[in-house]
Amino acid sequence: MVSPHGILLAAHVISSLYGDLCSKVCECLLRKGTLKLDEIFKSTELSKGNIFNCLRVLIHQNCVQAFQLEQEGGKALKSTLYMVIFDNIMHKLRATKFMQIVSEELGEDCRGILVGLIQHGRLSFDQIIDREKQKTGSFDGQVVHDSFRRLLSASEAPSQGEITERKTIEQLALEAAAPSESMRFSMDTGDISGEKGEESPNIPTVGQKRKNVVLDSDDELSDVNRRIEVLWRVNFEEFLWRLIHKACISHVKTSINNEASIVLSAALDLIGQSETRLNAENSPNLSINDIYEEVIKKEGGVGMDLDRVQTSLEQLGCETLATDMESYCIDIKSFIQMAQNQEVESMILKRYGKEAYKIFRLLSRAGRLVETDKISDITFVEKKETTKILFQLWKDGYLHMESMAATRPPSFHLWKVDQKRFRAKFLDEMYHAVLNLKLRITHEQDQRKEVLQIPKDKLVGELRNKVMLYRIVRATLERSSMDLDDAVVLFHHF
Amino acid sequence: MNRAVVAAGKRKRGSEPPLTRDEQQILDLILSKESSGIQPREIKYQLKLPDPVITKASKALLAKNLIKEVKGVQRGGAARKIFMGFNFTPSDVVSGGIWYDNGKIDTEFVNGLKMLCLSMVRKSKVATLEGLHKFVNDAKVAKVEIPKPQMDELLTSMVLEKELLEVKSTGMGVFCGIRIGETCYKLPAAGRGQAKGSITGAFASIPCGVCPRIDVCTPDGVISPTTCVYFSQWLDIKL
Repeated sequence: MVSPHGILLAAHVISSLYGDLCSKVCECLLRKGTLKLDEIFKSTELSKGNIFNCLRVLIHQNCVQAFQLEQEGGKALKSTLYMVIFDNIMHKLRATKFMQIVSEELGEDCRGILVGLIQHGRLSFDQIIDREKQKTGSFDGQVVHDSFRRLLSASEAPSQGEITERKTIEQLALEAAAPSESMRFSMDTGDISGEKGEESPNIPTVGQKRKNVVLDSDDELSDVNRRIEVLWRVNFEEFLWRLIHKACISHVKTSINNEASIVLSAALDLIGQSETRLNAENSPNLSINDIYEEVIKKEGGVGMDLDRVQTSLEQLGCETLATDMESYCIDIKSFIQMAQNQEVESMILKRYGKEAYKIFRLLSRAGRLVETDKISDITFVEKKETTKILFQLWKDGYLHMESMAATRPPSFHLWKVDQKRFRAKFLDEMYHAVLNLKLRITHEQDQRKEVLQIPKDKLVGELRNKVMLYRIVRATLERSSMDLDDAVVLFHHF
Repeated sequence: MNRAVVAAGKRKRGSEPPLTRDEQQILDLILSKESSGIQPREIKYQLKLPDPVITKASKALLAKNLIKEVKGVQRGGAARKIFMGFNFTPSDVVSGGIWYDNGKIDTEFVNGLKMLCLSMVRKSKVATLEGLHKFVNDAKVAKVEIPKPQMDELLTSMVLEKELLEVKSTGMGVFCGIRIGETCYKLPAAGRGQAKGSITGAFASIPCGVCPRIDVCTPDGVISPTTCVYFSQWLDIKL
């Protein structure tokens, strides 16, 4: 279930990109879950025509997934269900980052193709070609072909292991919509297939037997899926991995030093190239020699020797294997945890002060209920102040409290950080903050609407200063929004 | 019961007025608690005496130096006045232990010990609890020897403040000579300004991250991102 401010943020994103009607439909699905068309109609009070059009847009933009449930006995239901894909809506906010990654790693030609996929949601290869033709005066088909192949190669994700936990209907629907892993990135010489949005011409069906059944849909939305041609979309998973990679490296750079960040970057590159993808339970082992060879390829790494690489690995907390002193265990989860802790602890420090910071760290590390006096003793905070801080943190929803009745008053209190509840609240606050930044950007723009419409050559003196100031303010807000989104990625996906 | 004090009380009868029945009762109870002492309300609860009687009697006993008033460590925020036999030393439960002075944390003493620990860790790169415990006691900065559990408390506090990092010995490199798996302490890896949680996260870098009113902030409310004074201050950029 998406948190309250996550819903508001998603609705704002959809509203700013696709209009208020789409936003209303999207918000309805976010609040009420997977719905049929009639249910959306009742909840939104929009006309069916408007709802149809909105769903077409949202499906095409990969923000909504349509599917049909199979009844027991093999007979499919006639009606289609619609589910919102919250993660893909959030990825709309990260478009700039994705473009930057591709621009840095693969060049401007690849970036151009990616921009098209981001803007249009899904495109066939012919549409990509047409778009490039319209964009540039001189069109070179081979360049487009090569750029496309490079994007595809960079997107290849090794097949993942079986996920054994119980899946929701929504998860099954998403899986049914995607082609098999072997097909997702395949590229034959004729008709290019690959990371497909919808390979099957049918709305996917989810049910006991997981068959894809051709259904006559009662709505025109199946038209979106009935095209025989293959459609391509952005492989968000790959970009997420790279964003997490960047966030961990950035954290290590500020909290340890630049050399450690280079070594970590090299190690993560190696992990990315191997069969083992980012998996919270895995801690891949890498040999010191492999890491060193990767380090010296990096900017700033060429001057490092094996000893310095080893020192950096120790600073990173990477341990050697008991059986092989030349191999290091890279605990990816620990780096993500460190980056998350930095976010949480710096918020507590800034909002509640140093004493609260110590108390919170104690309870976070303890992972169990601790009595007030014990907290005071360990943190060297006066008893009265400790009690005040604990109640404030509890009132704001960051701590869990239990009262124990003593034989004679006063009763005493036990405290702990309920990690699940705390993280949900923290993430919701971050969504709230991202939304606030977006709204403030709009507000700042509205305040200077008239000045911004003045042609450049007429901007002199005070007017010019106002525009310059607006640009600085906007850049500050957007940069903060991007930085905050990096933290959101860390908390939402782990 | 401290018989010497009781005997002194009896001997004094010749020179000073004898203790009243209430005063004797209260004195006996206080002395029976030895170094734990007793709070006035506890006296009232046990002896079923009214407050004015207890107040008058305890004043008299204080004046005669038969008892003393000790400021106990605040429990749950409530201040504690404790009566104790004159010759008794308050126990750790009452005084709060070696870190407390007159019912409050002796911050000067604690900070002094912290600086000492940091100097040792800075010099030796890594240190164990045993090593630091010995170093601090050998330095004789405290009037009494600091017990190991209290030393552990101090180091834990420094770890919580990010003044020290808690790590496990690998037996190699800087940990050479230290048993594998033993808890050690070292300085945070970064340079100046990296300790004590001073690296600000993205959330804490914006007004919303530190705002105490974020729960009541709404897009169209009285507190909103468009009307927020913290935002305005943050964006008050001068060209």
